[in-house]
Amino acid sequence: MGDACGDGLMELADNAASEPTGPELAAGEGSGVAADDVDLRASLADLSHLMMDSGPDGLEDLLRHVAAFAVRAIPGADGAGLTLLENDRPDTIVASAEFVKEVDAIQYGLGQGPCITAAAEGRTVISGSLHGEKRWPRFGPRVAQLGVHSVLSLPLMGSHGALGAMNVYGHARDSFDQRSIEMGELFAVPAAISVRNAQVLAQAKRVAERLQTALTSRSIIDQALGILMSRSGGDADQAFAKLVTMSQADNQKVSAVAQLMVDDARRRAQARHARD
Amino acid sequence: MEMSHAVAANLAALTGALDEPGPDLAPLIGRLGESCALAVRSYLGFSITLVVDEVPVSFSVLEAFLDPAEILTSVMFPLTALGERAVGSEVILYAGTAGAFVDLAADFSYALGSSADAVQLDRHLIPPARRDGSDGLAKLARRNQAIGILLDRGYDEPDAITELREVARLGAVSVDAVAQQVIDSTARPARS
Repeated sequence: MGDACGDGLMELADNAASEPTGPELAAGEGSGVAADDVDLRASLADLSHLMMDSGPDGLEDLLRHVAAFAVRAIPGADGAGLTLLENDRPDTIVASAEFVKEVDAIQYGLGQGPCITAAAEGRTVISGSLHGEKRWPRFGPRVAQLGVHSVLSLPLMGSHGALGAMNVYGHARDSFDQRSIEMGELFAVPAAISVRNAQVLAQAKRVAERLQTALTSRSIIDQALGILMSRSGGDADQAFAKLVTMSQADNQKVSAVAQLMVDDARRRAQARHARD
Repeated sequence: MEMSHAVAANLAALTGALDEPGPDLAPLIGRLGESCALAVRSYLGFSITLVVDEVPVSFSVLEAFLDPAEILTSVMFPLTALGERAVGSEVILYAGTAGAFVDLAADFSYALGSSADAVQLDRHLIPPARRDGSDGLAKLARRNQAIGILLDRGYDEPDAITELREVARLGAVSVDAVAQQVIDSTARPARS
């Protein structure tokens, strides 16, 4: 991310280090807090470089890295996954570990779970005992059987609502505490920025590629129309009607018939040049 | 933010030209607009231009009844950095809050590995009057139909293109005008 964002991320990390965080941080826990802050700073620093390294091809790679950084940044995490929503349905889904993929597959297959709740309600969702979790009565016990007992789901917020969610899982019960929530929410803000900016670039690239392909294909069709116009004297509409008739007679796509026609004209032109 | 009928119609026609399976153009462009709206609260629309065979073809999806004075910021990023694209291929995003694209512009500059000037902030504040692709598509069509006519007359493609440019240069007219002349030359006189 740019310098402005990078500085902003470091400020977030500094704030995390300096803010008092309540009774959990009694004397003697200072070294644990310091270690958490080091992890958060390192994760945020890596996140700030991610856009530079991933490029427009690597939306999924970027998301996988964000998930991996989240595991490092959030105390208690054993694995994390990211889900982007499209038309309010889970779309791009990545995970930092295999077990996360299994857990998220269960969630989206059942249509219930912490990520779905976090994204739908735009708020952090936490559970320390998934087996008995009443909010997701089908998801919780199934996931607990896989040895996953804790979850922290953080919505990734865009300007008009959630664009997805980050799921962080722990094998142990009560893996996540208030500190985990604070670290997770701190991390989720720049993570959401990285994700949504990368999404814009990735989609712009997809549009450009598809449009380019369509325009190139259209160019061949127009050249074929020109060939037909030269032979028959009709206008472009009449030539197109002829091309459509030919494609129906040959049971081929218009673009395929056009390509054959243009290739044939090119070959004859080359043969003529070779003779001259 | 809905696409205009003209843009949708032109994109549908282009999708029809596609040979290989894949998403239709209109929903793909719609999703790009949705992502932009999620990234920037005051987002007002975008414009995409592809230069194909020296002909720019542009499409815009803008907020309905947009007053150009509402556009207070823009960011342009070149599509040349996203693959092999001709110079001039670009995407421009528009928004209604000054500074809304600062972070996005910084991210794009780093992600595209582009030079400092390639991603441009606030230099495209006047939206296109009409960008439904029709101008560029019609010009591209004329150019390629003229090339097809010349292919049928024995030119190979490089010579056909050279011929169009040379006639344009000598006549001090546009290549598009020459292409139209070539097309007109195929008309058969009406029988009396």
